[in-house]
Amino acid sequence: MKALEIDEVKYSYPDGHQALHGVSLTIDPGERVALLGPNGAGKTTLVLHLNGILPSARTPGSSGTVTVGGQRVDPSDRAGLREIRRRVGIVFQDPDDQLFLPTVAEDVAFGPANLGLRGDELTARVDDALSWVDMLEHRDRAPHHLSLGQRRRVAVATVLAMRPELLVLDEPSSNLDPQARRELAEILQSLPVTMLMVTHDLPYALQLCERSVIIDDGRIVADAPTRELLADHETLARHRLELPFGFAVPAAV
Amino acid sequence: MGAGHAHAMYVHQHSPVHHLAPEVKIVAALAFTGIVVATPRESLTAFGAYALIIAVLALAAKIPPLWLAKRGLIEFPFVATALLLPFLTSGPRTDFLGMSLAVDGIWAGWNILVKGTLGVLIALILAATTPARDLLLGLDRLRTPQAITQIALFMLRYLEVLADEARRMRVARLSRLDDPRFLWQIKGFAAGLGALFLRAFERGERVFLAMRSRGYTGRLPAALHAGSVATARQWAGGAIVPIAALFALILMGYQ
Repeated sequence: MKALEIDEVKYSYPDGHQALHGVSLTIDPGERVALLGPNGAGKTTLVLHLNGILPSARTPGSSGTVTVGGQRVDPSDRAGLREIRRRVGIVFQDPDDQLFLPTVAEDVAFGPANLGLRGDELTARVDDALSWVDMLEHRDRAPHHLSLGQRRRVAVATVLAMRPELLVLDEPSSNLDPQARRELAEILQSLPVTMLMVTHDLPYALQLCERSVIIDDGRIVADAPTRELLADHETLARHRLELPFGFAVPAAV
Repeated sequence: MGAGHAHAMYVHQHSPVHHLAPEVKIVAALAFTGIVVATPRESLTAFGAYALIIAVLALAAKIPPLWLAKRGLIEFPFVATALLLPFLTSGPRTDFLGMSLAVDGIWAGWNILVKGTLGVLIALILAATTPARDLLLGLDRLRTPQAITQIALFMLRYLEVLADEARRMRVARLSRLDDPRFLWQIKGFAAGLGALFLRAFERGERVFLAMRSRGYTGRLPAALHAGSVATARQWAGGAIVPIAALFALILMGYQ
């Protein structure tokens, strides 16, 4: 069974702008895949399809199917969506959007509590998730007193606490200092889940993901091992992606 | 950054009043206010007893009297009319410091003043001993319509985010030499308000998406705060306040 199957997904926003022109993508269990693409390529729109936030039920101009671990995402099926949202954990780009409760522990408990966990089981989930991201000692602090790197790790924990099968990260490395960036990479590398990482940070994709796909203008335009893709300067340039100044990835290893 | 810990009204202390479950305190404060309002305005001893109850509560909750007095000033605009009543009411009059005052007006003004003050004080004690979010939790447990508690919850959350964002925008403006000292120089600020509204709006949408992605269906999960649900003992403890007031009303109010 595939961890994720996206089949010919098309989507237009209510204002008529078509964001996705038929996206198809398959991810195997345990894979780590980078979803690369310039701003406005449709990355975030696609991510919101993965747990059924888009399309809202009966949106004209949307078609195609998303299947997570064999279960089809159906926005009109409330019980099914609950299970889908447990399986697909999305870490949004801005941790301030994600963290909204007074303490770190409460915020991490929010998701599993929504799943119906309580008492000791809930506490154990929270502590597990926080220890995976090495934030256990900060469990009772207020999220807005933490540094950005710490808040992003907490945001990852809020999702891990739901024991997702597919972890989706939206620009996990943005605005982090080099050390926070490396620490987050080490944490992500140690997690035994299937991962889809949305980014335009190409070195980060190379470090974390063996496979990369490029999305541009609502279509998947390339799908290859990350190292090969990053060595292909023409393709990168065609889709407004580039390595940082002065860096190059050799084609052969 | 320290401002986010508690809300402006909360007085951080550890006391039996602070530790009472929020729903108990809300019910007790409402019942107390109801009893105060139902008291005949001439029962001075009953009002004295209510004031005593409030003093004991404030003492137990370790709320500084000066804090109560300062915050109590909020009632002033509302009781201003009460001070005018003795001059404006018709009927038998009496002389006081050379002014001619209506007896009925004095009683009417007194009625508003004393009930307003007692009501404000009990509300202040509630606010001082209960963080804003716990108040909402209490309201939610008392089956307040979800729409209301949700709006209030989001408002609490956004006020912080908004204040933060407004502060950052202000700093950014000031660093580009915006120096609004007079009313006609606040163009930057006004333009900033528009941008702030848009940003808040978009951010609100993103926050909501993030919550829905974690299974939010319109109610904060009860398991998050299972530890703070009121026990029978807490209800009994909280009931002391309105019951004491009720005794005062029965014994002194209707003689």
